[in-house]
Amino acid sequence: MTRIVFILVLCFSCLCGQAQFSRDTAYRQIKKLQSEGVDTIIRYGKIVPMYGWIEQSKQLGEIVVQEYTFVFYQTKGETYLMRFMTYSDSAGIMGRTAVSKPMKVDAELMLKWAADNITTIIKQPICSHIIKQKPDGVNTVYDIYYPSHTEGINIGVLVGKEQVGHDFTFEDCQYNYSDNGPENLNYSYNIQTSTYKLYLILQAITQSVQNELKY
Amino acid sequence: MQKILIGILCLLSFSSYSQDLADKVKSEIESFHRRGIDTTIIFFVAFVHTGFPRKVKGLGDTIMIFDSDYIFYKENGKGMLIACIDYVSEDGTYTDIAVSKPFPVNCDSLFDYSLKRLDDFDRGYVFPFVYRIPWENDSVYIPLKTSHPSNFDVAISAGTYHSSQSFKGDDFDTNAYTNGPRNLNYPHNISTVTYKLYNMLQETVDKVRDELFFVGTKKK
Repeated sequence: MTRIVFILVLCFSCLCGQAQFSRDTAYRQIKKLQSEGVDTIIRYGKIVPMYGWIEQSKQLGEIVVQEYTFVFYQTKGETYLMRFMTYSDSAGIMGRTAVSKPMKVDAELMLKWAADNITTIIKQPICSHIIKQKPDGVNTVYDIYYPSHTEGINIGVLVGKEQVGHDFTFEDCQYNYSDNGPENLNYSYNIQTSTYKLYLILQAITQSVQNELKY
Repeated sequence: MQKILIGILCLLSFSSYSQDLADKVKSEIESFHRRGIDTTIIFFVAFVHTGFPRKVKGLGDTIMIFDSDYIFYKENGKGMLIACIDYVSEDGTYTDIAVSKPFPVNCDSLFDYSLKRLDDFDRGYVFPFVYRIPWENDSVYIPLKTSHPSNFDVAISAGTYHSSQSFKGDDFDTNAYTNGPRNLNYPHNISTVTYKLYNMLQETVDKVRDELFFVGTKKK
């Protein structure tokens, strides 16, 4: 009977809680940091549904990451980041989860810039990849481009009681989705937004340190 | 230990009840096929996060309906309609699926119009409500997002032909609100066969909705 209960509990937990591990766990960590008095936090996450990308980790070896969330925060004058992720390990076992230890990074300027520009970030979300077509040769239509395996990106900035979160896709920031594909009508706006600038900085910092993280 | 086991089984069973309406429609269509009926038009109506309390014959005076599938067909040359609904009971204690008894409707023009335009229906894709706002010396194009969208599907089956179109009610609006941002896809959307069919279906359903008599699967 104990075994049956154990298996049923396992089944139920798989049904209810397999997705979005990193975002949920990062959320709990952010709440913990806020309760400790940390007032400037940046969250940066990426997910590719039904897909993943290969990474080389010093500690974990070659892994396929399904989704991750980084949390940047400042405490006692130092800036740290943590990473939360779901991945397949080098043996191909799917659904593994990991939380990195806090790592000291040089990102004070980014946190200060985000805190100073939070009002602009709130006002400037990244808009969908919109293309113009003439399907019947008569009427012009405006359609949303939906790629099959897009990179979903989410960024959150929390400064004191103010907070903002934006979700967008990698393709929203591309001029076109193929060499001769139609122009993304929101491209010029998107790449001028403060949200996009913050995304570029977050991407650069996280790519430079992700292999060094300890889990 | 047995109590724990029963509790866990209950939780597991709660997590898998949502496909019921689609399954019910599928079983009705299979029943049509067994009776030699292979031409149907299905009109699916869903109001996300919203239900409308209304009097429904056979079920009660204040039934909250979420999703509805109206299936039009012809049997022995006569136009007929059945509806499958996903609803909350009058006292709010349970959700259930109910199917109406077949109801005669005049749907000759609906079938004539759609069956002559199957190719146009295939191409009758409805584009989302997109509006433009000025930004500095540029423009930003934004898809309209509403908190409680109404979703519709129109599906036509005729022998081996099967096709469907999905859209939101807002896609056929000219503006987001009075004098609000303009729907850039409005001229195309209202020129589609899908739009014409949507109006015909809506008009027919409005005429007979209150006459349908439903039978639920659960007993109070």
